[in-house]
Amino acid sequence: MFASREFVSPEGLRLDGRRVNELRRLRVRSGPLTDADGSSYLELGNTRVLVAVYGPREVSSAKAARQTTQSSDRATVCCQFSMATFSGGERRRKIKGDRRTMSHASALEKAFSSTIAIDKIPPRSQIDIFVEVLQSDGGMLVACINATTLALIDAGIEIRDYLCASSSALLNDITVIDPNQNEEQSFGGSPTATVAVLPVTGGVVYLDVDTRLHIDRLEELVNQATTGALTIHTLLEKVVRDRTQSTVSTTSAQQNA
Amino acid sequence: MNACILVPASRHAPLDTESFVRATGRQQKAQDAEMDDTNGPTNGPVTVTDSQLVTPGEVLTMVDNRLTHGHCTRIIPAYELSSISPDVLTEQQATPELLSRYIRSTVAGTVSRINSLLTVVPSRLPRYRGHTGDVVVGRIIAVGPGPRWRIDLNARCFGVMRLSSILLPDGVQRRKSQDDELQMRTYFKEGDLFSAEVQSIGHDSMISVHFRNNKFGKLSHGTLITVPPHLVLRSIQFTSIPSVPGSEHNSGAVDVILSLNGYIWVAPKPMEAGDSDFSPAHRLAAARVCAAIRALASHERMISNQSILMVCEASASYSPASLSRPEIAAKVIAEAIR
Repeated sequence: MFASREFVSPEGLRLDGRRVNELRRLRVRSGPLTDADGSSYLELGNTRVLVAVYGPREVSSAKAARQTTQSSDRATVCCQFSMATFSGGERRRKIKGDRRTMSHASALEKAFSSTIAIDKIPPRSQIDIFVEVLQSDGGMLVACINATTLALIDAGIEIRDYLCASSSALLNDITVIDPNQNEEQSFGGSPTATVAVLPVTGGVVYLDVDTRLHIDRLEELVNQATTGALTIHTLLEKVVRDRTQSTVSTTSAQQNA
Repeated sequence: MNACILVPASRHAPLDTESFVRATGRQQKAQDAEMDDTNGPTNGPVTVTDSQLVTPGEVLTMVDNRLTHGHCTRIIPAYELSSISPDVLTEQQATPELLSRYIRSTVAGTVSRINSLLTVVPSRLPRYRGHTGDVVVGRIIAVGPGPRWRIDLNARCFGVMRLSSILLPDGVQRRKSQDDELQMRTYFKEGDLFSAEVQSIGHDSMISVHFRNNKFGKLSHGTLITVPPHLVLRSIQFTSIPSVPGSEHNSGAVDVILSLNGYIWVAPKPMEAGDSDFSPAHRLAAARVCAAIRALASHERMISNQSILMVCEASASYSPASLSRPEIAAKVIAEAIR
């Protein structure tokens, strides 16, 4: 068993050289797939995800059709979450449809159903979100939420606000932000909080703590993750602004010409 | 959570409709507001101007009776904001009621204002929204139910084409009878392509189309190219290129329908009406136009009659097939823009 000082050195540095309140390097690309309505590629340290968004479009899947008949005045959000066979430490034949991926898919579905301005989307239509994890190194859901936000904006789908996520973990009484897989799985699974917030308009859309945790420590953990999410918001906003700027300048310059 | 609106309502003088008050939660803006406060009352911290860039959640202005807000803008109702923690609200001297008095953007795009209507124009629009009078190219999805076809227009839901709003192949305007209803599949069957004009847009965003004259109708002997609708320039939509630059002399004209829903139709123009026999050079000319459109779309450039001609000209030294290679397309586009 590792001792906590091995995860955070006396100088306050973690195993990968970060400080306790430092995020991993975030690299994003908006619109890598040309055939999707909207897409994004996001790297959070060594976690890499690719998201494609289609819609709003006519209801086609059986699941969406079922939900549509239940509430005919709303659009439906469908999410498919899958992991590449080579995404984890060991190669797995099929990582799709097991309990963990299903729960991630439903978490994304619920989080984005309340982030998309559903009153602005035509009723009886469907928005499909396809998430593919190419490499997983902790904070998988965090990466997926941030990448999906970017893909939805790329698709021009009306949303209330950015949905930005981050996580924090408690490693033997030290709160670290944005843990990697090594830190998440230390001590046989350290308490990790994943938080998704709407940064501009306020409000927590998703909050999950995956092991038992003393209630006194919850607030600190959530606050740290929220701080991380707000940092990610400023980074994502810059990416969106730059891409919008470049699209507007190439399309409107010729419109005037 | 420090990213909320920091300006209490009392600091705003009544909104000047010529200027939009902008109050995002950035710290910089908050400082500006503080400075304004010390210098006496002003009309508000910052203004959003026409064609300014905004991203989702960004505040455009305060709610004002003299302003109406349209597409891609939203006021967040107070009940949605009730989940904000009271600590945050007191820190920022805000209440859910106060926060719900701002018009916000829901997409990334540019601000547009026409008289008192405030909208945001999304910079990218992969789905067609529909405007009455637009020329569109569509595909038949299903015949019926009833005297209508369900059609795909690259929109957010399937559209509808009524039997009563089409012209039959003889081109004569007449009332459609029960016999016509029974023969609907002989006029248009599943998978057929047609060009039409947008007649109206229903309250649930369903688009219905009609044929206004005999320019509209079934399409055949051509190629359909799908591009994002925001890349199609709003100008003359039925165009014809008499001689395509870069192809053989006198190879023949090429018809292009620059449909605003992003379904672009390219077809060699028959020498005589009804003729469907085209020379290889004529087909190559059409292929060059297709390649030019695909190259423009892949580089996010506006597609118009003029830009297609420019790319065809710049691609004269390459065969239409080689234009599908990304490095050649990039070279040709760079030259055409220059």
